[in-house]
Amino acid sequence: MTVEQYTNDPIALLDAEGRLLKKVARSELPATPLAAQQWNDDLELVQVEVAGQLVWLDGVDVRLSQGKTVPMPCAALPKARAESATNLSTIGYGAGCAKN
Amino acid sequence: MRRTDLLPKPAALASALLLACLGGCSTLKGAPDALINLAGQSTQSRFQGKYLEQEEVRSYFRLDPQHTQNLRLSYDGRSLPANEIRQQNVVLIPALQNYLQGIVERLAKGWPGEQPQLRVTVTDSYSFGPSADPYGNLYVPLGMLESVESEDEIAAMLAHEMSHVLLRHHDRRQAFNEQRELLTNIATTAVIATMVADSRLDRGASKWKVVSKNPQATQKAIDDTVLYTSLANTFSDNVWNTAWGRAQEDQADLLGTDLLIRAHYAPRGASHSLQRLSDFQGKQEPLMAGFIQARRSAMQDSLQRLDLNGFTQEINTFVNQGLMTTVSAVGQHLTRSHMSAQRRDDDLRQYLQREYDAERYNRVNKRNWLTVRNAPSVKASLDAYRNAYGANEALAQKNLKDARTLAERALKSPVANQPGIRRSLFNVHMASGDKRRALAQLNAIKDWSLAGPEVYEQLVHYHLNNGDAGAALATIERAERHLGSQEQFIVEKMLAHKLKNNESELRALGEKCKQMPNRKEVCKKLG
Repeated sequence: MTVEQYTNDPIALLDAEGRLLKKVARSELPATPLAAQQWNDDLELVQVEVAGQLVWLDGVDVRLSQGKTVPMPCAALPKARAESATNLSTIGYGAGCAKN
Repeated sequence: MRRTDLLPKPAALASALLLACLGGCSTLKGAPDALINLAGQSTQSRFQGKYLEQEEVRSYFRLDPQHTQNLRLSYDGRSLPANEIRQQNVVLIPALQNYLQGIVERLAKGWPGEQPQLRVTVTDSYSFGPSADPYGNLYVPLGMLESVESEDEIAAMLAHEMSHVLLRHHDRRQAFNEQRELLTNIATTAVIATMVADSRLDRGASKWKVVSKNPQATQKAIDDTVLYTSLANTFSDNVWNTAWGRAQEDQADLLGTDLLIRAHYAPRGASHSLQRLSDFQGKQEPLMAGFIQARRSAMQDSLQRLDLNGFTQEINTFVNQGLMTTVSAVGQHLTRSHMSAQRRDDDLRQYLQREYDAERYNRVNKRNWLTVRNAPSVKASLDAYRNAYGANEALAQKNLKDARTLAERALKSPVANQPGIRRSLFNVHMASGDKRRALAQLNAIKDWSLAGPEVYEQLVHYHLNNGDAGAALATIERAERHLGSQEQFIVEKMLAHKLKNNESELRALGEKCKQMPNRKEVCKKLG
C-alpha cells in the first residue's frame, strides 16, 4: 500500500493512538507515492516515514492506493467460473467472478 | 411448401410498435449528449462558511404548498407518468426498515426548515447508490447494504439523498429521466425486436397477420427474450443511479455533510461511500458492456435462424446500432462518473478541513450496523436476496443447476413470497422450459404492492404470449393500482383488448394514450 496523495494542507502527524503530534505543511512532506509501513484499519491510520521518523497519518488527510471497495457481484463479466461450481458455499454473491 | 402458423396478434402490434420506434427513438440518438456532465469550478469554493447557512439554501426552508400540490397523485392515483414510477421491487424486512428510518429521522432534526415527508424503502437491486424521488421516498438498494461498514456511512448516503429532496433537485431532473429511459427502453426494445425477428409481416388479406415458419423456435425465442429482459432489468439499474448534474451532486454533498455533523455522525463516512462509489463505477463498465454485447449476440442468433425479408434486415441494423450506441454511452458515462466520485471526495475533504476541522477526525461506529445486519431475521432475509441474485447470475452464465439450487435456497427465509425471490424462481423455470411451474412462482407472490414494473411486465407478457387476454388485463389492473400509473402498461392493455376483439375499448384507450407523454408516439402509430 502507498500514500498516493495528500488531500489536505496542513497534514496532521499522529502517534499510534491517533493523538496529534504536530501539523506540517504539505510542502514539507516527502513526495508521493510514499510507501506505507503499516495500516491500522480500526483507527484508519497509516504509518509512514517522515524525515527519518515513523509517524502516523489519518486516512482523512491522504488518499491511499487501496480505498474502500464494493464486493460486486460479477454477473456477465468475461467467464471465469467459481473454483468449484458445485460447492454452493462459494457461489451466490460474486459467483463467476474472475479471480484476481 | 413450407408450413406457416399464425402468431398471436400481440406480436403484430408489437411489430408496429417497433416500426414506430424506427421512426425516431430520440432517447437512443440523444443518449451520449444527455450523459455528458458539466465541468468547472467546485461549488464549495464559491462561498464562505457552512453551506446550510447560505442564502440559496435558506430559500428552501419553507415548503412550497403549490410545489407539493404539483407532485401529488391525481384522485384516482393512477396518473403517474411511466418514467416516474419506482423501477425495482420493494424488499420488506421490518427491523432493517425501522433502523434506516431512524437514521433519516435523526438526520432530519438538523434541517432548520419545514420538514417534508421522508420515507426509506429498501429495493431489490444490487446497485450501490441510493436514490430519491420527488415524493420524499429514499430508495436504499440491497447492494449498498452489502457494502457499507458503518452507520456513519449509511447516514452519509441517506443525508446526501435527503439533500436532493430538501433542495428540490427533482425540479431539474430531465437528464436523470433521459438516462433511466435509455436503459429501460433497451430492455423493451429487445423483446419487441426478437418477436419481430422471428416473424414475417403479411400485409395481404389480413392487415396485421404475422407468420412464422418455425413456431416452436419462435416461441422459444420469445421465452428466451422474456428471460433476457428480466436479466437486463436486474442488471441495468446498476448504471443509472448517479445521473445528477455536477452542481446538484456538489450541493447534496455539502448539505448532506452539514446534516451528518449536526446528527453527530463521523463525516469520514461520506468519504468512505465516495471511495466505494468510485470502485463500483470502475467495475460496472466492463460488466454492462459485456452483458449488452452478450445479449446482442443472442439476438443476432435469433435473427439468423429464420430466413427473413428485408423488413427484418432493417430491424437488424437498427438493433445493432442501438445497442452499440448504448455501449458507447454507458462507457462514456461511467468513465466520467468514475473520475467524478474521486473529485467529489477531494472537494468534500477541503470543505471539511475549512469548516469542520475537529469533527473530520471523528471515528465511525461499526458496531450498530453489525448488530442490525446480524439480527436473525435480517440476516436470513439478506441471505435469501443474495441467493436469488446469485440465481440470476448463474442463469446469465447458463448454469441452470446452480441457479435452481440458489433460487430454491432463497425460499427458506422470511421473504420467500416477496417478488424478488419468486422472480428468480420464475426465471429458473422459464429457462428450463417449464412454463407452468414458472407461472406458479409469480402466483405465489403474497403482496403485489411490493412488485416493480418488471415483474408485472413478465406476467402480462406471459399471459399475452399465451393468448390469455383476460388474465393479462387482470394483471394490468393490479399494476395500475399498485404502481399508480396507467401509462406504464397502456400499450399492453391495448394489445389485450385487440386480442379480445374489443374494438370500442381499444379506440377509447387509444385516445387516452395520445395524452400520455411517454407512450403517445407509439399509440398514434397504433391508432
